[in-house]
Amino acid sequence: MSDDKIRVSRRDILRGAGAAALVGATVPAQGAPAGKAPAGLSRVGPGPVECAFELNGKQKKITVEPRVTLLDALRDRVGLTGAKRICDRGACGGCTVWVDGQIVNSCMMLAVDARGKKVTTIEGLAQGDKLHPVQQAFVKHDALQCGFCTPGMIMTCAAMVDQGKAKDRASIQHELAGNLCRCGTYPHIFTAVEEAAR
Amino acid sequence: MKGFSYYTCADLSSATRALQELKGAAVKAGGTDLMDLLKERRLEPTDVVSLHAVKQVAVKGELSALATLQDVADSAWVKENFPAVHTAAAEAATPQIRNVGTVGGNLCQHSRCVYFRNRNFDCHATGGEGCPALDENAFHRYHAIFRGTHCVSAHTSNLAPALMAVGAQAHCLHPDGERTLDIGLLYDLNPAQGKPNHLTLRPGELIRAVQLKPTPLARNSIYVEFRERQSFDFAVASVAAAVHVEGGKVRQARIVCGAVAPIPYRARAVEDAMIGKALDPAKAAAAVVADAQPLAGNQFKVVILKRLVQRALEGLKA
Repeated sequence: MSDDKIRVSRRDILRGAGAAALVGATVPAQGAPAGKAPAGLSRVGPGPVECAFELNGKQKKITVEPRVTLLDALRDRVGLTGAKRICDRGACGGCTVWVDGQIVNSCMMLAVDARGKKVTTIEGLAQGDKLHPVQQAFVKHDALQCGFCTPGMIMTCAAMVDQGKAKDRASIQHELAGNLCRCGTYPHIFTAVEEAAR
Repeated sequence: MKGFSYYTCADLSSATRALQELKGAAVKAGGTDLMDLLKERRLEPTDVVSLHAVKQVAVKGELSALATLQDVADSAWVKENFPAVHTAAAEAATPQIRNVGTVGGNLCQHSRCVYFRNRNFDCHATGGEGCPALDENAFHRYHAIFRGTHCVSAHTSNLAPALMAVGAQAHCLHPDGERTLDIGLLYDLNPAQGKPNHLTLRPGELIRAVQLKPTPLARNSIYVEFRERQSFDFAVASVAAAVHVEGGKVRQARIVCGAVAPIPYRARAVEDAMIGKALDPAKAAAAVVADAQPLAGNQFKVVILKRLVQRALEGLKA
């Protein structure tokens, strides 16, 4: 999208409506007053907290309440919508991102827990125009149908290839157990990973 | 999810002291169980104490409670000396969850009972009366076949039965010091009304580490589970078993079943009856399920458990 055009997406409208609704609401104060914490503990929230972390190789600072998941922060605050909010319960893998090089369900992680960590999303996987070998193999082997699970699938598959865990079909299946594809594209995905791992 | 204050700390002793001050605070390690409960508003704590930033101290013979399930699955020492624990960790949940979920969190997870997880229902665990799963029309396919007094939920920890089978112990830190107890003693079959879990841990008490001792019994251990999906799922039933056989006779035996009772179910009477005799998997399997009291919708679990016990014992060196 070029910067000189004004484009409003469905997502922008929803975000605008949400912000408008929030203006009228006051958040009741809860718990101990800000900053006060038992000895040896540091406290943030329940109001917004500044979270600084490395996102796709660049430093990023966002301000979110402690209850906000990393997934919602990425999608709604940063605007990276590659990671998908599908089950929102850590069961489907559509929200898979890397945190310090490990695959995690970003829907089951609080954004505040990403402070000081390295987060990589599907948007940060390719090096410029150069796709990750797993991305290339997905294209070549037609390893997607509707495409909704694909960002999560690719993050999991790329991690297992990079970490040398894609030894054979059985190990690929074991490592891919946390990513569901309701179109049933699995055979093409397995083939793509096998090729990328070679 | 309701808003909460979020606390971090660098060491467990600060956390355990703070938890006495912060009444009703939730403890979060990997958070994979807690996030579910918060999102469903089953728990609505004002304060959440995170152990995320606590530095793990490596001690020989111990698994840190904050070690991830993947750490356990990747440990060559665990694989060689405690095969049941290795398999239980490697087969738990998904790779994404294993990278985050911890040993302590797996042991302390809340019931997966669909009625407990739904805030529209009340039961003994949430401070109410009765048990919605006992209704004959209830959905209790995945509930217990060995019951507590008030609860027929099924305890779904993979690690607990495996750690019990190999004779592991938990080092638990509380504000006044530390105590060590067998893993099985972490669980209370009949907790007080309004207590949302089956743990015997006192307020503010945290599991610091799990102590593992390599023994002939532990080395000859196995974990098997039955689940409805090949990829990942909570087990319909699981069995961790271990035997120490000498001269063709059983000297020591452990059979611990998961997902069949509100807490890990250890078949002590069956273990005792096996001592001094040749290993007889079929006989032991039949004995384990002899006391089962299934609900109308989960009688199939009795058959599955029986076959799992047999399969587990057949997989051990006799």
